[in-house]
Order: sequence, then C-alpha cells, then structure tokens
Amino acid sequence: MKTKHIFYLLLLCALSACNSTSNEKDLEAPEILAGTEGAGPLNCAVYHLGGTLIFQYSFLDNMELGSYNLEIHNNFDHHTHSTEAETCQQDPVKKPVNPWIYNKDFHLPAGEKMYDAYEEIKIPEDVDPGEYHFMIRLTDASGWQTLKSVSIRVAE
Amino acid sequence: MKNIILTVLAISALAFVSCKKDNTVAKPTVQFTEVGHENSKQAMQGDDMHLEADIMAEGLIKRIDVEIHQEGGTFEIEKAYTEGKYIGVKNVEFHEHIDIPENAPLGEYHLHFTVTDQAGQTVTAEEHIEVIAFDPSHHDDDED
Repeated sequence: MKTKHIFYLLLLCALSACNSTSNEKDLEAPEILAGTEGAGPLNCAVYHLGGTLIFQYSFLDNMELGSYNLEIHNNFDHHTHSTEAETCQQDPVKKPVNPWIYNKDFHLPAGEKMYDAYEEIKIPEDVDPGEYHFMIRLTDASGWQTLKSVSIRVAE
Repeated sequence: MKNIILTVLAISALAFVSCKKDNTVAKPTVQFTEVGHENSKQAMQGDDMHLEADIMAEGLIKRIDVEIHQEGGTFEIEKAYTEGKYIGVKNVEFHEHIDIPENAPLGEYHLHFTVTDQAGQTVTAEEHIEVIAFDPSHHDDDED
C-alpha cells in the first residue's frame, strides 16, 4: 500500500515537473491610446522654440507593460513612416543645421496593464525650427513593441 | 525494496527527459523598408541617410550594428545600438538618420546591418549604396 502511494506521488511529480516553466505566452503588442482629454502631441500640432511640449498618452497591455521611449527627429526632407496618419503643411526641403534631437527611455512600474503617461519636454531655443517627427515606442514586459509616429511643427 | 528503487529511478529519468528545455528560439530576421531617401539606395555627402528596417527577434534584440564601408576604399561609417529603444524588444521598426560626413568620398559603398539576439544568434542584411554630392532637389521633386 505504501509503495503504491510513493509510486503515484512520484508519477505526479514527474508529470507536473514541466508545468511550472511553461508560462502563458504573450502574443499581443501593447496599445498607445489618445483616449484621455488633452492627449498629445497630436498630428500637425504646432509648438514654439523655447516652449514646452506636453506628452500625454495612455498605455494598455493585455499582460504587463514594460517601458517606453520618446524620440524626436527632423522631417526637413519630408520622409514618411508607415505608422503616420497624415501629412501636414510642408515647408520647402532644407538641410538640417542644428536640428532638435531628443531620445529618452522611460521605465514603467512593474505589474501594470494600464498607465497614463505624462511628460513635459522642453523645446530648446537654439534648434532649427520646422517639421519634426515625434516617435512613441511602447514595449511590453515580454518585448512586443508598438510604434506611433506623430508629425509636429516647431515654429519660431 | 529493490522494486521501489527501480521505480524511483525510472520516474526520475522520465522527469528529466520530459523537462529537456526547448532551445529553439527562432533566429532574428531583418527586412529593409527604406535605404536612402525614398529607398533610392543613395546618400548625400553632409546629409543624413534614412535607414528603415523591420526586425523580428523572438529571442529579443541585444544589439544592432550598422556598418557602411566604401568599396575599393577605406572610408567607413559605423554605428552600434546597444541600449535604448530597440534593446530587449521582439519586433522593431528601426528608423534612423545616419549622418554621412561631408568628407565621405563619392562612389560605391556597402551597407551591413547586423542584429544580434540575447541568445547570441545573428542575422546580417546587406545593401549596395551610392554616396552622391549634396543636392537639395534630390529630396523632393516639387522643390528647386
């Protein structure tokens, strides 16, 4: 009788040994939502040199959010991004002299499925005014990334 | 008693075999979506060259290396991305403006784009590019 018990116990152990490692697989990328009031930057928004750009979007993931990155690069040459919604008013093409470059990583609190992001970004006074792309890259805890690209203008 | 020991051994063996980890993480893949303005495969001296690629790395990206070297010459431009927005990510739309120095000799170049995942697996995509003299009209046909 005792032998039988040991046998079943061991068999159970053997069968369940692998269950602990097979975590539920995440197959979904996170979402960047402009749902909140005052969300921005929105496409074709205009800002000013020396001013402040308010970044405000909501993030959502099915399992767990990870981090996000904000990046700004010039669009003086009118290039395109596949995620872009529309083209705004265009200036003549020009060569960058001192373009605004911004690139920053932000970590999100662990275990969150939803997060309202808010950042104030100071626009330098001495950079080239003109068209820029504002890139939002949101990555969830398992590495899936969603990219949203917004066209903005920095006026003098 | 002997039977019990045998049973224990047999079941332990089963446990080990059934737990062999599946080490088959797919190698990363890279697909260029834009090399040079509007995928012209051209870059201008003193300008920046657009480089856009779709990367998929099941094993998460560890680093990205971009190398542009002159054909039949020694001029080289190298850029490495080892931290920030692309690292630890599975799916990336890589988008960078690579600065082409004013003194880059005109002519033919080779671009090597290498992605390494966290398991150490790499993939390299290559493209042929040409460095031309700066010409603003090259950017947009509507402009002078």
